[in-house]
Amino acid sequence: MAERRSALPKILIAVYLIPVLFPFYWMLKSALETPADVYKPRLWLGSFTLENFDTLLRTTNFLVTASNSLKAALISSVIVVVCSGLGGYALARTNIPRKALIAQIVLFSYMFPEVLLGIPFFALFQKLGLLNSIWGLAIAHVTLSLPFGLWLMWQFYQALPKSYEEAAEIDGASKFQTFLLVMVPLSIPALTAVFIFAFAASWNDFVLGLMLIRDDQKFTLPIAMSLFVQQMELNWAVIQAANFLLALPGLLLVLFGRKYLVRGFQTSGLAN
Amino acid sequence: MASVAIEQVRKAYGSLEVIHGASIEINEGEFIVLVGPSGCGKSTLLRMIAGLENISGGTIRIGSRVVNDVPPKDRDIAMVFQNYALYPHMTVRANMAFSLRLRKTSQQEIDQRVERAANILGLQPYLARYPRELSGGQRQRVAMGRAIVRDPDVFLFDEPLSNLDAKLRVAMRTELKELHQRLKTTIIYVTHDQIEAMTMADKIVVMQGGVVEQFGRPLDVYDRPANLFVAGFIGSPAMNQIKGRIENGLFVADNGPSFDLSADYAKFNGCRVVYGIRPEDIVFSDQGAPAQVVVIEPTGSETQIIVRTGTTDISVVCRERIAVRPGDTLHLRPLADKVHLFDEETERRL
Ligand SMILES: Nc1ncnc2c1ncn2[C@@H]1O[C@H](COP(=O)(O)OP(=O)(O)OP(=O)(O)O)[C@@H](O)[C@H]1O
Ligand SMILES: [Mg+2]
Repeated sequence: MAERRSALPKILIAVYLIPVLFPFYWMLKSALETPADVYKPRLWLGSFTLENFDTLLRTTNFLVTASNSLKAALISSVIVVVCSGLGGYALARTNIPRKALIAQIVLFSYMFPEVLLGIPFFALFQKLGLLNSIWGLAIAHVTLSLPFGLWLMWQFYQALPKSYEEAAEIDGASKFQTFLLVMVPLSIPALTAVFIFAFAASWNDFVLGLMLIRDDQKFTLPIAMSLFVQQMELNWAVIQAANFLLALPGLLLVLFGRKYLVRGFQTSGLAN
Repeated sequence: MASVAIEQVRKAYGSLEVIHGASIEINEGEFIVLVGPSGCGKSTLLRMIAGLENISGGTIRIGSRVVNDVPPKDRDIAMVFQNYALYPHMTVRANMAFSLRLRKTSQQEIDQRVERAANILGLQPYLARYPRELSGGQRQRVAMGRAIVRDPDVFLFDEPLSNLDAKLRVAMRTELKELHQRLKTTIIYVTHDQIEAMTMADKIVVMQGGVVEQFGRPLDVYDRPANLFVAGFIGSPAMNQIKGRIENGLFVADNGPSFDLSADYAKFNGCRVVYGIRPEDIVFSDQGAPAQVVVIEPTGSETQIIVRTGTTDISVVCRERIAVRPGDTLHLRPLADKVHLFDEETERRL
């Protein structure tokens, strides 16, 4: 009985993984085949070559746009992590009047489609001279994930027992020391989750990038990708190579971040 | 080491007052235990002494200094929390050193103090471990170690043993008492366990509903409980309490027997009282009041017998083993000089 109960979820997960993983497999397979082989209806790798990556890097501005994307993603996710951590802590532990309302309003902004957010950003950034700038784009990207990050950290700090802070207070730590030396290390798993979420949101954004960036040297990857399709004259092998590189950071982030995400040490200093 | 004076201290959460003017005078180096049922305000009072809760009224003095508005870190106190609250991301050594680091103590002195505390508590083998790698009892020791390295004026403990199993709890009780004799620091210790209170304290504070019911040496409180609540709370098995009145120098229960009283109580003739007698202060004797055995509970070292006389159940504890069975008749004779009488109206000791 116990055997069967533990087998069923595994089977279900396996079945679920087929449609999820197959496109990834197909992408990798096509990226590693010669352009001619891509069109042959074959399930396994027909030939092996790295020439598609070579073509991609030599003939397009892939590296430039990738570094633009990386810059925007890093800047915006660092801002999101810092603001979520500080803001979530403040929401959870201070007596700001109407703080629940504030948090709800922040979450409310999450309900707007990106296009609607992009228009005021465009107007604002035009005045501030932030149009066509990676920094400007990064700031706009903050709005994609800050509401979620703030909400997550708020919940996280609310669930954390107050006695850690009280112990630190009695030990002689100032409020800021308590936050920096005790609360931040305790919240690394949650902050990692927020970082991954914010990074992915920025890395994958298309709409805001399209609205706020004009200069093709400042395009981010998703926008450049949409242009490659024409530029490469539908050379799917090269496009798939680009696709693979686009997906890579997300894969790596989840793979390495997972260790922190599941390291549930936030309660292990307690009695039970 | 410092004295602590609590004078008419009140605590209110909004319009709800939970401590109604508590006063306790604690001498230097005393081991004080605050005891009372759940929700009576023990933790609240302790946290006010620590500075974690603000004080709604009255004054708290540590040494000669009024600390009402002094932040916790400047009160020179150390506290052990019920859940220990060890920093999970720091090793045992770092946990113990944290407060010294914040005070910019020299590395050499930090090492010395941590070594010393670790030796006292037997934590040497665990200094490099993280809290998650320790057992409950070891975590408890680390929590105490974190307090000891500070060498504070006053130690505050909030039910530090309540998460340990019964055996370890008894062992730690002895250890804590020994630690106190060694360090001679003033200790204020909260528990809801009256045995812990009796065994460890120099003086106990019995609280109920935000009020200090009695403050005194454990045996004085045990021998002369100030009111019905203290009489019932301190002592296990609990004191028998029987309602009735005094007639002609005798106590006459409303629904059953009458018992002798010492001559001192003659002046209360006709009064309604509650008659209290501890289970171990009743002996069996042929001249006693007859009672039916209801339940027998042997513990090995002693035997508790519940007997019924009229409609009143009385528990009796005797050290010798006696051969009785439920339904048998025994004759009870409470020791007249061990009787406690309380006014039925005010519940105060007569
Ligand atoms: N933040 C708060 N707001 C309102 N009431 C509170 C608050 N904290 C505690 N109380 C009330 O104050 C009273 C005393 O609480 P306290 O925690 O001091 O009890 P305690 O004696 O320590 O009980 P226990 O043995 O269960 O720990 C309780 O009735 C509780 O409901
Ligand atoms: Mg408590």
